This record gives sequence, C-alpha cells and structure tokens, in this order.
Amino acid sequence: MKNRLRVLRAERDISQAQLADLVGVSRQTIVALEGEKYAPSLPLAYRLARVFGTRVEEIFDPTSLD
Amino acid sequence: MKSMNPTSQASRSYGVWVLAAMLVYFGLLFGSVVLLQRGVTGPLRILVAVVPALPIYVIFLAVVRYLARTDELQRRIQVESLALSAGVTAVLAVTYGFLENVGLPTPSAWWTWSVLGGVWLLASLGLRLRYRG
Repeated sequence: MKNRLRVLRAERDISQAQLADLVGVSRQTIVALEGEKYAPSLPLAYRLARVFGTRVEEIFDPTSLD
Repeated sequence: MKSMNPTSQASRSYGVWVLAAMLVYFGLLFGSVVLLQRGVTGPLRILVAVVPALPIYVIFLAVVRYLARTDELQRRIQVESLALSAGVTAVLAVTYGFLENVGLPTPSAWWTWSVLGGVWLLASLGLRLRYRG
C-alpha cells in the first residue's frame, strides 16, 4: 500500500527502530510498510498517525488499493 | 539503554523459553536412554520413554505465547508458515497412507514432525524475504 512513512520519518529525523518502538512493532514491520510490501491493520495505522500527528489518509493512499 | 518494545520482548521471551526447554529436553533424553538401556521394566518403562516429550509441550506453549504477543506482521508470517506446513504434512500423510495399502512400510511417527518443522522453517524464511522492503 502506497504511503509517506519514509518521508514523514525523515522529516522528523527518527530511525526505523525508533519508530518501531514508538508504535510497538518490530523494525522488520516498519521496513515492510515503507517498502509497500505490507498493508497495516487499522489499529497500527492509527498508532502511526498519532506518532506523526496527522490523519491516516495523509500517510496511506487508499487509492493504491484500487 | 536500548528500549524494548512488546515484539522484541516477545522474541526474547520465546528464545529464553525454547533454549531452557531444549536444555531440559537433552537432559531428560540422556536420562531416559540410560534408564531404558539398563532395562527398566513395567509401567515405569513407558513413563521413562515418554518423559523427554514434556519439554516439547513447553515449546508448544512458548510458540502459542509468542504468536499472542508478537506484532501483526510476525504473527502473519508465522501463521501463514504454519498453515503451509500443516497442509504439506497433511497431503504427504494422505498420499503415503494410500501407498501403505499396496504394501509400503509404515514409517515412524517422527517423519510428520520432520516435514512439519522443515516446511515451517523454509516457509517462514521465504515469507520474511517477501516482506523485505
């Protein structure tokens, strides 16, 4: 699923491991999300949105599922 | 100090439990083999023979606990791997079961674990590669 995770993370200067700790997942999960190999569950998507202080739709592009 | 998120804690806890269970397993296996070779008889012989299986139950519980505590992607990888390995084992078991009807020997029950464990390992490694960025 297309997303802006890598950009948002770079803007805030946090590592994949730090982001993983903040949302309670493994670094491999962050890698898979950024590589657009994996679509997160709704709770994880909301946790990511809370960390970046934005809305889920501003991180993940739902049109990429069409 | 390095922070520990729930997934890291789940992996570490799983590793500790499996390592401890394997150590106990090898100890019990050694003791069991020695006692069986010394000719223990009666119901005690059955008990001595089966005792090394106890740590395997602990490993099973450790897997269940890991699946409950790890993150969603790790759980998905492991559940998909287990489903695949269960399917392969079932297909092979049924196929060989029919071959037994025409005289092929009945193999040891150990082969099911070998197939299940082997496919589980290979499938989880393959799925990890699939989800790499």
